Amino acid sequence: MRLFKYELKKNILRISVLLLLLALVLVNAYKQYETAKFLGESGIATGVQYKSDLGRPMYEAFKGELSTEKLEEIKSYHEKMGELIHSGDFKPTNESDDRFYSGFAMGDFNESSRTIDRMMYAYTYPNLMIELKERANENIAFYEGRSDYEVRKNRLVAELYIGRKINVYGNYGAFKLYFDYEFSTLVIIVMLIYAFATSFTNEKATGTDRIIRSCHRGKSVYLTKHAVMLLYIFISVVLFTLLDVVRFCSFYDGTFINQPLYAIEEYKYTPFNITILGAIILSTFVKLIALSFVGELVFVISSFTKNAGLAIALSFASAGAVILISERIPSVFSPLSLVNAESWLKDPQFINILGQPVLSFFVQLIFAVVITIALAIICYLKTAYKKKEKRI
Amino acid sequence: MVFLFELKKILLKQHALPLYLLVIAVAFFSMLFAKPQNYGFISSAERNDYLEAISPFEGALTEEKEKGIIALKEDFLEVKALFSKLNDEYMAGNIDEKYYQQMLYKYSEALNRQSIIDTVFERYEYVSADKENRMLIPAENVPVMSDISVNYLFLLCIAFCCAYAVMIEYTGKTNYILVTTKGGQKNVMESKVIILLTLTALTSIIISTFDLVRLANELPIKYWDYSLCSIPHFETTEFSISIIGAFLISQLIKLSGYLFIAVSAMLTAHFTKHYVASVFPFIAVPVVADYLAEKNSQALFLPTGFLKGIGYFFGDEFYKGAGAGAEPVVSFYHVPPIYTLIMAIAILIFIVIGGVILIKSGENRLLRGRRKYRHIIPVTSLLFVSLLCTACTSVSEGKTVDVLNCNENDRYKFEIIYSDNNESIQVTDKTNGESFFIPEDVFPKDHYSVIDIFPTENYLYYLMGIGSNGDSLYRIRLSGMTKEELIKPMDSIPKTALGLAFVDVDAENRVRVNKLFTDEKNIFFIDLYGRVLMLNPFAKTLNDCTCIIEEDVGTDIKFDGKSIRYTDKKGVEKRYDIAAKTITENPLK
Repeated sequence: MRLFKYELKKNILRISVLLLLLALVLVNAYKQYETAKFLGESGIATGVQYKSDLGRPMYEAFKGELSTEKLEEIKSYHEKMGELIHSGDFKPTNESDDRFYSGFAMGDFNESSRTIDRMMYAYTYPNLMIELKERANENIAFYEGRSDYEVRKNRLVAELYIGRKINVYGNYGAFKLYFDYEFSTLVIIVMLIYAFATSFTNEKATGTDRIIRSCHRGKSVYLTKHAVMLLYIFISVVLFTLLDVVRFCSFYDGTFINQPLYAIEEYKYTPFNITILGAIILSTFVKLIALSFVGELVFVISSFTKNAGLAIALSFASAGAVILISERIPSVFSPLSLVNAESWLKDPQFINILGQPVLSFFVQLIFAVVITIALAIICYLKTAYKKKEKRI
Repeated sequence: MVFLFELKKILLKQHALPLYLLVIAVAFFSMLFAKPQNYGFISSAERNDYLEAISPFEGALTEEKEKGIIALKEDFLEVKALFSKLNDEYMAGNIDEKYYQQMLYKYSEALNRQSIIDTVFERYEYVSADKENRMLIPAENVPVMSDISVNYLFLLCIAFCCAYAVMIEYTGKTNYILVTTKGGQKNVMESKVIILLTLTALTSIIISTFDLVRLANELPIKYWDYSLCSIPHFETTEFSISIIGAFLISQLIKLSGYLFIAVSAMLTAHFTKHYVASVFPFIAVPVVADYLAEKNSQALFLPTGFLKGIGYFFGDEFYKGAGAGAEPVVSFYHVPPIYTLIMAIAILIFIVIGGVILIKSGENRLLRGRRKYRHIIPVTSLLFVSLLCTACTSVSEGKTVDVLNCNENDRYKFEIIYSDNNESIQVTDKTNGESFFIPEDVFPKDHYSVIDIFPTENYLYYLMGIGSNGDSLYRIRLSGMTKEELIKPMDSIPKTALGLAFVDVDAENRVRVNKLFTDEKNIFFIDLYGRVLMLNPFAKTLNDCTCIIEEDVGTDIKFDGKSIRYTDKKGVEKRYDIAAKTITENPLK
C-alpha cells in the first residue's frame, strides 16, 4: 500500500498533472460547445449559437409517456396551425404571441410536424421490428440447406429484436452527440502520456530498476505502477464521461436517460437491448479497455528507453500511428476504434467464427484485451522479470 | 573544433542525423505517392481533351475568350437538342433505324464531351464572377495549396533532438566541467544552437522543395504567377498575391514555425532541465489545437499554428443557416493579415532572442552576481511564450460578412455588408465609395430573417421569411430609407390583374416568391410555378410586373446580368435575353 501511495504521488498527485487536467477540462468544455454548435440538432438547444430553442415549450408540453391521445392532440394542433397559416387572415408577424408554443404560428406548424414524425417513430417502432423479423425469417427460409452460417445469423437477428417497444417521447440530441464524441479520449491519451511516459524511463536512467529487481521488488513495483495507471484511467474516463454527458444534456434534455437505446432513431437497429444509461456505462467500460491498451503501449515504450524525451516523443508517435492504422485496418483489429461508441453501438455487424455468427464488437473487445495483456507481458519481461543467474 | 565535435555528437551520437533523414525520407515518399492532378477526370484521354479544350481560354478573361466559352457551351447545347429531337423523331417512328444509328454515332462524340464542357464552363463562371482578379486555370483543386496538416513526425524529431542536445549536458553534469574549460559552455551552446537551427532549417527547406515538386505536378509552372484567388479554395482570401508567392511565404511561415519549436524546446530544456517540460508541450499543444479546431481556425492563432503554413491565406468560409439570412454560419474565420504579420515578427524576434539567451547563458555561470537575476530570463521567456499563446483571444471577435456572395457582389453598383458589431447593414456605392447604414428598425427582427438581398439603382430589395415558407418581398427606397412591402407571404391578388394565374398549391390566388435576382434596374422573381416575373423599376404595387418567361424554369437557373439560362421541363436548355426580350431555344429545334 505504501508503494501504491508513493507511485500515486510520483505519477499523478503532482501540481503539473492537476494543472494539465484543469487546462484540458477547460479545453474539453470549449470543444463540447463547438461540437453542439456544428453537429447538434436545432429545435430545443439551449444556449448554443446557430441553434434554435423555439421548439422547447412544445417539447416540454408533449414529452414523456407516449399515448394515442397525445399523438392525436399534436396532429390536430398541426392541422389547426396549417389551417391558420393558409387562411387569408393570417399575416406573419415578428411579435411573439403567447397563444403559440414557439410564439409564432409558422414556428408551431413546423415544430409540430417534427414532433409528429418523432412520435410516429416511437409509436410504429414495434411494426418496424416485426418487419425486420419477417425479413429475417424469409432469409432463414431461403438459406435453409444453403448456408448454415446465414441461417444462424438470421435466427440471431430475429431473436435480437424481439419485444422491443418505445413508451416515451423525448429528445435524445445530447446522447447522439455523446456517443460520437471522441475529443475527451484524446485529452485522456495526452494526459496518460504526460503522467506515465517516463514512469520506467526515469528508473532505467538512474539504474534504480536494477536495485528494485535485485531486492525482489520488481514484480510489486510493476504491479503498483499498473494499478496506478488503471486507477488514473478509470478516474479520467469517469470524470470526462460525466462532464461530457452533463454538458451535452445541458444543451438538450437528459431526462430520458433510462429509455432504451433504440429510442434514439439513429440507433434503431442497435444489437444491444440496453438503456441509454446502460450504453453510457458500457461505452465507459469499453473506453477503459481501449485506454488501457494505450497505457500499456506507453509503459512498453517507457520500459525500453532510458531517455525521457525519447519516451514522450515515441509515445506520441505510437499513439498517432495507432490512430492512423485504426483508420486503415478492419475495426476488429483496432482497439482504439472502440473509443467511438457510435461505431459499435449503432448497427449489428457479425463475424463468422467456425460457422457461428458473433457480434464483431465482442471479437474487437477480446482482441483489445488480448493485445493489452500481451503488451503488459512484454512490459513485465522488460521491467520485472529477473533472469536466473548462471552459476559459475 | 568544438563545433565539429558538437556536430558529430548531435548528428551521430544523439541520432539527429537518422531521425532528420527519416523525416526527409517520409516527406520524399509522400511526394512520390501523392495523387497526381487529374482535373476531375479519371481517364487520361478525357484529361487531355479537357486540357486541350480549356487551354485557349487560360489566363485573364477577355471578351473574346468569354465569347469563345459561351460558343463552346452553345455548340454543345445545340448538339444536345439535336440529339433530343432525333430521339423524339425516332420514338415517333418518323426516321428509320439506319438513319438513327448513323446520327447517333455522329452526335455521340460531342455528347461524350459533356463533362469536359461543363467543367470548362464551371471554371469560366468562377472567373467571370471577379474578372479583374481571377485568372482561368484548369485546376479546381490544388491539394498541396490547401493542405494545412502539421508534419508531426518532423515536430517530434525537432522537439526531441533539440531538448536532448541541451539536456545531455545537465543529465551528465558536463555543464559544470564545461564552464571551467577554455572553450566554455558558451562555445558549446553556440555550436548546438547553430547546428540544430541549421539542421531544422535545412530539413524544412528540403521538405518545402518536395512540396514545390508536388505543386508543379498539381499545377503547371505557367500558372504560378496567377493570382491566388484563381484557385477556388482561396475565393475569399484577403491577399492579392500570386500562387507561387503565397506558396513561398507559406513555406517561410512553416520554417519559422519549426525554428520556433526548436528554440522553445532548447530554451525550456536549458531553464527547466526537465525532459517532460521541454518535449511534451511542443507536441501536445499542436496535437490538441489541431483536434480542437478541426472545423475552425483557432489553431492558426497560436504560434504553433505557423506549422500549418498556407492556412493563413484562407478566407472566411460560411454558409447560410436555416432561416439565418442575416446571420450566416461562419465555419472558418480567416486570420487577419495584420495578426499574421505581428505574429511572424514576434516569432522571429523570439527565435533571435532565444538563440542569444541560450548562447549568453553559457557565460559567467560561476559568477555570484548572476544568481539574483537568474529567474528573470526564464520568467520573461515564459511570459513571452504565454503572451504569444494567448494572443488569439482578442482577434476572432467582431466580424463583417458580405451579405451577397462574390458572384453577386461583383455585378452590383452597391456593396452590401452585414456588420455584426453594430448589427446593421452597410451599403457602399462602389462608384464613389460613399457608404451609409440602413437603420436597424427597417429590418424586422426575431426569427424572421433576410433570406436574399439585392440592390438596384433606387431600391434595396430583400426577401424575408422562415426558410422557404412565408417569404415576403420588401424594398427600401434608398433616397428616403422608407420601407415598402411588395409581396406578403400569402398575398391575394385578382387573377386577372396581370393576366396571370397566381395559384398556390393549397389555396388559389396566392403568390409566393421563390427566388430573386436583379440586373440593377429591374428585380426578377420566380413564382411558385417556376415562371419568371419582372418587377418594373418604379413599381408601386405588385401589379406593375410582367411575366417574362411563362413556363417552369426549374431549379437550375443561371442569371449572368444579361440573360437567364434555364432548362425547361422537356430538358431543352434555353436562354432569355433581357435586353432583346427574346427566348433563344435550341436554334435548330
